[in-house]
Amino acid sequence: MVDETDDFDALLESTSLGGAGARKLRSRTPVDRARAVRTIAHLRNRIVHDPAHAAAAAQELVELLESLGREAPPGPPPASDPGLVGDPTKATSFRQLVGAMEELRLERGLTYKRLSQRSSLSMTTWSDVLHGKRAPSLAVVDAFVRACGGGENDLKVWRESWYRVWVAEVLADLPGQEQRAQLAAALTGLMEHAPELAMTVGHLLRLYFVRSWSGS
Amino acid sequence: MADEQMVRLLSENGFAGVQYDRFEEEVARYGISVLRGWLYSGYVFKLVASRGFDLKPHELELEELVRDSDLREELAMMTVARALPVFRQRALVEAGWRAERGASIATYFMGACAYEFPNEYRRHRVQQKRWNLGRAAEGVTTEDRLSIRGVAEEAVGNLRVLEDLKGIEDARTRAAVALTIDGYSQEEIQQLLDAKSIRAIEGLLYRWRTKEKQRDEGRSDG
Repeated sequence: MVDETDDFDALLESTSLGGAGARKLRSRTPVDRARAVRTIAHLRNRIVHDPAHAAAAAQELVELLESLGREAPPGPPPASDPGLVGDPTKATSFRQLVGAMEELRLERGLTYKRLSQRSSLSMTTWSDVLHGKRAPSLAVVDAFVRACGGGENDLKVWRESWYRVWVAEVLADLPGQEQRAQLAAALTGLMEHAPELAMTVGHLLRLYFVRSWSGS
Repeated sequence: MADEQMVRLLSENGFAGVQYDRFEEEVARYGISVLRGWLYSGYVFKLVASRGFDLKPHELELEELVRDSDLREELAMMTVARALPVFRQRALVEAGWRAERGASIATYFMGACAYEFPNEYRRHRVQQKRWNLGRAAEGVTTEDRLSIRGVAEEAVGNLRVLEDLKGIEDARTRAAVALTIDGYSQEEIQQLLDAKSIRAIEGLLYRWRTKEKQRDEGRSDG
């Protein structure tokens, strides 16, 4: 075996890859780098030609690229500052809030699968929410911000935005502008101190003034 | 010829197994190194343009490739990853490479890389564009980003190279000068530019130096 390997190496060095210049050039790239590239090539091949295992191969490829520091573009924004892209504070409806979520998801290069892996929610949930098929609950928004690498400050910003939008949506069909404004202020105040109670009140209000956000 | 002997040996195991793994590993090492050199010198754009893929690189893109070794590494790795399976299939399994046609197996592989590079570079541009849009929202321009990174990466020397290179019209000479300044040996440059001999590279550099000298003398006379 040793002889065979030696013979093979000797043959390799006598090919065009073994000339003085080529040998020096090869030595500029570490073997493990070349091995990583071969793995990338094989995984890419599996993704294209083996649909049954494409998802697993894609997952493996993403992890390999991440380990090489290759997934994100150079110099991404700090992980704790997702508000820079996909600003939720300007959203006045769940549709706009989802738009901000989608912007952030794309900016972070996160697939639904990756979101699912980084949270306890299924790919279907993420797909439904981000395609506007259902409104994001507060828990979904929390999970989303965390999956995007957001910190406590980011959570606060996104939660406040969700509360604001939610109150607006709940009260949207309530007759009387003044009455709506008063209730909105009361609910928002209640949200700050007792969010669970505020949400129960909101749900009760909603039973009387049913309005599907996705149908608006 | 050893290249032919190697391909024959690898075909006995259907271009698979331990020996093929070893061969492919060395092909990949070679390919990554050559591409890094091509990217540093900008020669890769000239090469792919001559094959009908004119990527028309912006000056800032060329500057970024001189400054950013991580970017060169990433593009080189991903291009080689694209080229390896294509090369195995077309050159080896389908016997597209033949020794009698003149190109060595190393040169043929780099041809496969040059063919795949435009796709990889377009992918990079799309990613960069998306990134720049995000940065634009923060009010950071491409120029800002480049200058910030330049300082961090001690790119002053590299930038001087770029300035010097602007005056050289011939792409091969420009590449030879850039690679010489970046520490590549003449043997490596011969390989990178697929030149016939080291003397050909010496000739390129000699003619460039002579021209520069005459230009300098012309300046001091005037």
